[in-house]
Amino acid sequence: MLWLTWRQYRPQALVTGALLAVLGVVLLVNGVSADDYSTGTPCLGLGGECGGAGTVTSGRFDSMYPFVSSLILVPAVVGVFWGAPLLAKEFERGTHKLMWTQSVSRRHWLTVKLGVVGLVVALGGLVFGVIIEAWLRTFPGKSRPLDDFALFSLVGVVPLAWWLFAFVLGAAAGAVVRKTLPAIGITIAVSAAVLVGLVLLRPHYVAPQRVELTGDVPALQSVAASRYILVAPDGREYDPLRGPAECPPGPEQGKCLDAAGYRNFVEFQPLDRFWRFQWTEAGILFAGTLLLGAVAVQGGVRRRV
Amino acid sequence: MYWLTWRQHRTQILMTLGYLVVIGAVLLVHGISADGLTGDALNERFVPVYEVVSWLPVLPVLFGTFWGAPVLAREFERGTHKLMWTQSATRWQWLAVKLGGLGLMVTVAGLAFGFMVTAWLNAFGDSHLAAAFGNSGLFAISGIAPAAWWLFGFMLGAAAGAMTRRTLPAIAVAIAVFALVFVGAFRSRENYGTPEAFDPASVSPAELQATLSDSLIVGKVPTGSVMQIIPGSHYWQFQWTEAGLLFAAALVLGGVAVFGALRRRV
Repeated sequence: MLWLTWRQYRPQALVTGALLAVLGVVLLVNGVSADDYSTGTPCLGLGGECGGAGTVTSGRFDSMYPFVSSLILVPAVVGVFWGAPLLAKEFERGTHKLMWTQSVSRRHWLTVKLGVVGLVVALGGLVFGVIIEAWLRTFPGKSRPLDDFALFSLVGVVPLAWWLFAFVLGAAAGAVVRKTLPAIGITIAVSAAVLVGLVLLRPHYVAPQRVELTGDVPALQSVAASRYILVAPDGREYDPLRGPAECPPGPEQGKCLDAAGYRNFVEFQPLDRFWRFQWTEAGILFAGTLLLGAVAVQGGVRRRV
Repeated sequence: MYWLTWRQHRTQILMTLGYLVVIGAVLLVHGISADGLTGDALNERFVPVYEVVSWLPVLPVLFGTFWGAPVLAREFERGTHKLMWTQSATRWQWLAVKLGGLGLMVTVAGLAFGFMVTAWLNAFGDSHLAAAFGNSGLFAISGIAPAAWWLFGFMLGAAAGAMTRRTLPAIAVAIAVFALVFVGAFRSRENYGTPEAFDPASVSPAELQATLSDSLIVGKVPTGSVMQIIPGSHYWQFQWTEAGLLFAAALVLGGVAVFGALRRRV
């Protein structure tokens, strides 16, 4: 049973292992050569105007970032090649008729396939997350990316949860439609929808912390998703860029607001909430995984051979 | 012949049509809503839809996966080519209808998509974010580039299917090759033309902003020095260069697909 599962999943296992190794080597080389940290300037000759924290950014990091951030599409590929064929290919080719009429029961088969292959997939996701995190650690201040929607899904426990979710999603799609190609289509579509949904939902996992800006502005470097709010004496909130109607934007706006008793607040997510966000997102995905796992088992056992 | 091709691929065709209708409606409504907005408000309106649209350059890989890979591989895998290719229509005719007919559909769909994105970007013409030349993602989905990218994805999948003769490995090969070509194209685009020297100090800040958002900036330069840029007037030259390269690659891949399919006796 284990041997057959290995035999059926050999190409996937070897290719995934090889790709993880390549990713590790590429990021290792990039990370090691990141010593020339402050030489690259992203300001593209705009004189001293662009200033601020963005001026000194690693050229190495910038050159790699677009490719690393596009790796958030990897879970969908895992679902396509690991999940979708798991049951769909058996049904499509009729091999389940032979396999499931041997001495081992269907539930047993499904548990072994989903469980063992799922374990391998989870391990792959974990290794993937560790590789990305090790790479981020070479760039100061980037190792807890709460404010970057792509990097957040690539470090910590979230990649593990995503890989597992996509795998079980593919298996469930294959169990329901019983054909590989439509199962692949469903896997890609649902993965994309879930990805967009989670990115939109993420700021709402925990209510942001709100701090009043009085005189000395607190240091806001270590925060994510900051937003400034103007609160009227009667409690109504305004966007400071527009302001209330009684104080139109202009040079006199500040004085007018102060006189009318408006107060400035800033809302943000402190970076020490990183793991809270990670576990929330992983929890959502794990719940989805369990649900889809039940769908896959049901779909697999439902019909008589 | 036509009927069977339609029957075999109608899911893909209808899905693609549905996609075009949905994305067209979204871009149309969003573009109309930009009417009359300026400055920060215009940028703010642009960003939410842009964040989704900026992922669409990877779309051609789906044409490789769902249009290209199964077109030949599924026949071989199921043995249906044995019946199909021993009827009165020759193998050449079959291949011409399947690769040519479906390829034409993909190209026309890509053209329509590029046209819609260009019209959408024009509605946000005043925003420096909606510049299709300097932004490599927007460049690949505006103008005629998507037609070439989509056809390339389709032919890549078909060629992979003809060589591997199985759907799943064909999909894997198509995704892997596409990822390499994608990265390569994005990195080599600035070499399609010769950059011009541009001194940021020679123009007013407003002009500088307009020029920089409209042109392709080559490489990274130390603060304050003369930059190498490719002005926005070269947009169509670059579009045709990219499209030409991809159409040529698609042609070669189509040849591979035909050769792979005819190589073996039924």
